[in-house]
Amino acid sequence: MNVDVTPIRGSSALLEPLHTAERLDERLRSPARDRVPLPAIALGACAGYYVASLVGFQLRLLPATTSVLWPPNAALTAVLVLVSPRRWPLILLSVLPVHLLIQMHTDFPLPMIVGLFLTNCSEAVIAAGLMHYLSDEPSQLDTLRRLMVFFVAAVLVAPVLSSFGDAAAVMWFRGEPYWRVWQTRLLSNTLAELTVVPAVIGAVLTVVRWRRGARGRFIEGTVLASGVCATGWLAFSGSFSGIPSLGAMSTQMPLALQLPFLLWAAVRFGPTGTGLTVFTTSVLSAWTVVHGVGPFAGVPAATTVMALTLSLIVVAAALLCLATLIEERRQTQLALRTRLQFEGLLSRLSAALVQLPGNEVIGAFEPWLGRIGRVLGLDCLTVFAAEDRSSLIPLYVWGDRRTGTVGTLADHMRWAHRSVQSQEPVFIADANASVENALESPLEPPLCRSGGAVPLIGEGDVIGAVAFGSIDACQWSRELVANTQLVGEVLASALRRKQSEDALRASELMKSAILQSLTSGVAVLDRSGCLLQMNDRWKQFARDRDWMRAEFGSSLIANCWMSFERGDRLAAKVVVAVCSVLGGSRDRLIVEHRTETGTRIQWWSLAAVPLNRTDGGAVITLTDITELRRAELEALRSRQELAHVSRVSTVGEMTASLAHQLNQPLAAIMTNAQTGVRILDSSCPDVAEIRAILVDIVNDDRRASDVIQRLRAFLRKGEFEMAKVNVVSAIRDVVDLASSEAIIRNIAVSVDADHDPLYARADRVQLQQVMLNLLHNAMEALNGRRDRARRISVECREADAERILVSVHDSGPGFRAGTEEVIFEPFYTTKATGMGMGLSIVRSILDAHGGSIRAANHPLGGAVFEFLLPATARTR
Amino acid sequence: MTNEIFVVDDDAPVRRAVDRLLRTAGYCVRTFGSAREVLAAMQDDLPSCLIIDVRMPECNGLDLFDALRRTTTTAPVIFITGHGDIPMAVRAMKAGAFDFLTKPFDDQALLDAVEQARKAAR
Repeated sequence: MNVDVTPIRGSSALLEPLHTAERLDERLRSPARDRVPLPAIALGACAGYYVASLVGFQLRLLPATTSVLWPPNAALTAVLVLVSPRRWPLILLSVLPVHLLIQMHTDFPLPMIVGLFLTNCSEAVIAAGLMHYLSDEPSQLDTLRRLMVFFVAAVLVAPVLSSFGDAAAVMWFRGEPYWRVWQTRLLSNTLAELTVVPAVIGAVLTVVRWRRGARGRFIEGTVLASGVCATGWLAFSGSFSGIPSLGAMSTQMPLALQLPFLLWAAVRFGPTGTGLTVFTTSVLSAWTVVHGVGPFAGVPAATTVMALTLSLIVVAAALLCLATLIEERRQTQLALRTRLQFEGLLSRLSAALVQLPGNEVIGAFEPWLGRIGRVLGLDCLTVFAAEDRSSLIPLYVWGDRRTGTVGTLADHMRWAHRSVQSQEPVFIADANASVENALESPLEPPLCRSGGAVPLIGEGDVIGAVAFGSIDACQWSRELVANTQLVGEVLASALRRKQSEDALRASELMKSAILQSLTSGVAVLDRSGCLLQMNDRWKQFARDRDWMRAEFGSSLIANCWMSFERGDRLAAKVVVAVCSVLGGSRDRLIVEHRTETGTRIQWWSLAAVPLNRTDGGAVITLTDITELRRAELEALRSRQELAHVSRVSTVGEMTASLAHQLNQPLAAIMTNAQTGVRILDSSCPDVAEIRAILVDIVNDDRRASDVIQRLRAFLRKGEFEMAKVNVVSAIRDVVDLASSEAIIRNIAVSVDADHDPLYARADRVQLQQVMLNLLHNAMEALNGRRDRARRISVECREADAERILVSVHDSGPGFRAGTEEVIFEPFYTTKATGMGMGLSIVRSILDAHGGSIRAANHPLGGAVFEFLLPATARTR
Repeated sequence: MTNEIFVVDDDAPVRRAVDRLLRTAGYCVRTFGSAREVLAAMQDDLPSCLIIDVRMPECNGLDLFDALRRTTTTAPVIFITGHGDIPMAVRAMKAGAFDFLTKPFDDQALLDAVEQARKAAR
C-alpha cells in the first residue's frame, strides 16, 4: 500500500490517507483521543481530578495525610492513556490549578502541595507512558496481554515509584513515618489504578461510541449500578445485621454480598463494568471504615484498611482477569462469526459470479454485495469499472441512496483516484479528523466520514475499483482491510471474466457483422468439409445453386458430389478446389465461371482458401464479378481503341514513305506498260520482251498489293486475338513497312535472328505495333545525328526455354540518366509534337501478353529497348 | 562522250523498266543499284546522260549529284523522284541538274528529257 497525500478540493488542508500497515497501526494507537478538542479534554481532566480529589479527601484516615483510596492520580492516568502523549503537558498544566485549589483547603504547606502534585503527575505519566510504550492499544483492556501491561505499568510500577517521592514529601513536611506513608499510598493508589483507569477509559469510549439501539444495555447497566450501590451500602453500613444469615455474612465477609454484582459486571460489562463496580465497592467500604460505621466499626481502622484494600486489590485483579478473558473470548467468537459469515457470503458471491454468464455478473452483485457490506460494518459500497485508462465509472452501487456514489471515481473520490491508478489500496479512518471543515471532506461530505478503495487488477492493469464508505469514523483494522481486499480480488476476477466475455461477444458481433456485410457469399468449412458458418449472401446465392444448399454441420463436399451427379459441372470444380485446399496441396484455388439467365450473363469467382486455425478448415467465397469483368472488357476495348488510334497515327506519320513504297511498283508498271505499247507499235514486235514486260507488271502489281495488304492488316480494328505467331516474320514485315521511312531518314535498319521461325503466343497486329512503335521511336532518336552512322539493329533470339527476347538498338544519343522508367509513363515525351503515348502503349500491350519491357543505354552508345515474350512450347 | 545512258535506282523493277524503255528507244543503257556502283563505273566510262533516283539508301541522289560535280564529268543529270521528294529535286535543279520527273512518269516525257539533255550537253 502506498502513502499518498492528496490536496482536497482546493483546500489548503491536506488529508492524510491511511494506507500502509504501519500507518494503520499508528492510527489505531491514536484513537478518538485526537478527535476530541483539547479544551474539552482538559476540562474533563480537571473535572475528573477535582471530583476524584474530593472523594479522596473524604477517605482520609485522619490525622494521616494519605487517603485510604486516592483516585485523582488514576483519573489523570486514564486521561493520559486516552490522549496523545504530545498533549500531556497541556493536560497536566491545566490540572495544576485544580490541584492547588483543592489542596489549599488543607493545612498542607504550599511546597508540599506542589510536591504532591508532582508525585501525582509522575504516577500518571509513568503509568500512561509505560502503557503507550508496551501496549499495542493502551486504551483497550480486552486481551490478557494488554491487561498484563496495564497491571505492570499502572498497577505496580507507577504507584511503587511515585510513592517514594510522595512519602518523602509527607515525611518532610508532616513528620509522618516514611514507610507507613509509602505503604498506605502504594495500596491506596494501586487499588485506585486498578478500578478507576478501566472505569474511566471504558466510560469515555462508551460515550464516544454511543449508538442508538443500546437501550437494553443501558437499562441493564442501570440495574447493576443500583444493585451494587444498594447492596454495598447495606452490607458495609451493617444494615443486614438484623437479618440472621445475611447479618453474619455482612459482618464476616461483606464483600461476598457484592460478589454476584461484581461477577455480573465482569461477565456482562467487561473491564469497564468491573472497574466501576469494584471502585464503587471500594469507595463504600473505605468510607465505612474511615467513618467507623458498619461491620468494621469494632476493629482498628488501620488494620481494617490494609486488609480491606488488599482484599479489594485481589478481587479487582481477579475480576479484571475474568472480565478480560470473557471479553477476549467474546471478541474472538464475534470475529469468528463475522469471519465465517463474511467468508460464507464471499464464497456464495464467488460461486454466483462463476456460474453466471458475463453479462449477468452485475445482477449477482445485488443479493450479495450489500450483505457483505453489512457484515463488514460498512454503509456503502460501489463497484467501478474502467471505461478507459484514466476513467472509472460506477457499475454497481449499494447503500443508503444518500451515500451512494455516482459519477466517476475521480469525480467523487479524488482522494482515492491516484492511489487506485497506482494499483494501491487506500483507506481513510476519519476524514473529519484530518480536515477541519467537514464540507471539505473528500468522502461525500457530510455523509461518509470514513472510506476506502481497493483497485481491481486484471493482467497488470486497473480494470476497476471497489470503494467502501462508512457514515461514522471507522478504524480500518488489518482484518477489515484484508477482507476488503478479498472482496476486491473476487470482484476483479468477475470483472476480468466479464470483460473477457464482453470482448469475446463484441468480437463475435463484429465478426458476424463483417461476415454479413460482405457482398460475397462466404461459407466456412471444418477440416472434413462440413459447414460451420455462412453469411446471408451465401444463403441468397444458394437459392439458385443446389451445391451451395447445405445445412449447418452437413458436408458441403457431399452436397457438391450429389449436384455433380445431377450434371452440375461447377460442383465438381468446387469439390476439387475445396479438397485441394483442405488437403493442403493448394493454398488458394480460384474457379471462375459464367451463368446465363435469359439474356442476363453473369461472371462468378469461387475462391477456396485455408482457414487459418490449428484445427484446419477452409473458407469458400462466391463473388459476383460481372461488373469487374465488364470493366476489364471495357478496359481491354479502350486499350485496343487506343492501340488502333496509335497505329493509325504512326502510319499517318509514315505517309510519305508508304506513298514511296507504292509509287515504286506503280512507276515500274507504268513504264513497262508504255514500253510494251511502243514494242507492239513497232514493225516487228519482240514477243519475248512483251512477255518479260508482262511478268514484271504482274510482279510489281503484287508488290504494291503486298504493301496495301500489310497496311490494311496493320490498321485492322479487330479483337485481341492470341495465336501462335512467328515473331521473326512479324518483325521483318514491320521493318519492311518502315523501310521507306528509314531510307527517307537515311537510316540503315538490320534484322538479325538466331533462329527463324521463333514462335510466341501473341496477337500479331499488336506485336507488330510494338515493333513499329519501337522502330519509329528509334528513328526519331536519330534525327539530327549526322556525326555518326545512323543505324538501327533489331535482334531476335531465345532468352531461355520459355521466353523470346527482342531488342531494338539505335545509334542515337541514348536516354537522359534516370528517365529509363519514366519514358513508359503515359504522356511522357521529349518531342515537341509527340503525345507521349507510344511507349506507354508498348508496355500495356506487352503486359497483356504476359511479357515485359525495359529500356537502357547501350554500352556501345545509343539506346536499347529489350522486350520479352512468353514463348510457345516449341518456339521453333 | 559515249552514247550510253546511266540509270541509277535502288529499286530493281523500276531500274529494269527504265532500262527497257530507253533500249526500246535506241539508247545504250547501263543500270546501277547504288551510288557507289555508278561512281566506280565512271572511272572507265562517261555517259552522255544520267538518270538518278533521288531516294536511295546510304547515299541518296543529291549526294551522288554532289559527288559527280566534284569529278570531271559534265554529263547532264535527270532526277526521277516520288511525290514527297520534290523539294529535294528542286534543290537539285538549283544545283545544276538538267530536269526532274515525278514517278510514275510518262515514257515520252522521259525520252524527251533524255534527248534534250544530250543535245544540251553537246
